[in-house]
Amino acid sequence: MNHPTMNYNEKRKLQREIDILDFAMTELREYLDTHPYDRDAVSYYQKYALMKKQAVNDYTMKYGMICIDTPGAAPDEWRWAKAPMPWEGGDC
Amino acid sequence: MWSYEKRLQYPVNISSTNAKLAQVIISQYGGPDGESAASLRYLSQRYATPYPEVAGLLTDIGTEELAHMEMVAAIVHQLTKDLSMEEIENSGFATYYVDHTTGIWAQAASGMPFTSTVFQSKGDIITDLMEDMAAEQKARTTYDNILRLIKDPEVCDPIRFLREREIVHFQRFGEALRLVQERMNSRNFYACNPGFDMNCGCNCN
Repeated sequence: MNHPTMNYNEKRKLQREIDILDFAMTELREYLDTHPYDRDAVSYYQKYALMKKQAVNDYTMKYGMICIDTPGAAPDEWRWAKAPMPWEGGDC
Repeated sequence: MWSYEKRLQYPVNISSTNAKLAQVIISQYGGPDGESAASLRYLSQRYATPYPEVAGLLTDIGTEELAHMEMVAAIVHQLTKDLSMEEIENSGFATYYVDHTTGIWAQAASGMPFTSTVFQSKGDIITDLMEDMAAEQKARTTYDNILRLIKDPEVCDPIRFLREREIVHFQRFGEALRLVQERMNSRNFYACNPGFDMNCGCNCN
């Protein structure tokens, strides 16, 4: 199905997934700074980092660039500047 | 070094403008207990701690505060987007509008410009972490005060997220303070300053 509403919902879902994974990483990072020997937390961090990388890749391929180090596959144009700024709303 | 991600840490989607509320919320952008002061406080304090975990925590929390700055600015931006001249006149927003139109400028709710006099970088990690714990509580109180003024759930939601982060950071700074004190002389934590005096508080390194 290529209905625009479907795409919009999928875009929102992916954005939400990136937000959630990055938030989990932020929480773990700040916790691990003062608990560097918590092995479970280290392995959670590694797991979520991989999942976020995958989600950012998926998002970039379909909807445009959100991370400066993940350019995706669009050699004909600079997609970073074309993506909407996040404070304009409609980003979740 | 930093790299930008083109998204907010937590979504801000406000559909109705409210210039009155924007003038209050802007305090968390450029006010005494705001996110800009928080970020600059932690990122500046990093250099005076010899403990890498504590410098790491100040870096990571200072970085998260940059994302909060952007969220607060997004809230203010969306609350003041497409305001009519009538709304500007009736909401008391004219005094801000005359200098900044609807641009974002770092100031307190009172109109006081952003200033580094609201925070310290004392060059003593015990003092700095005590300040940081107080800073998180002051910001939490400010968000509580803001929440009492909000009726719109679309504004409440990101403000509640920001409030909760203050509580988590307070906890993390408390743990950092414990780590620092464990390396000090337990009979007198203040015998020397590990960021200044030689051979001070380095027994665990």
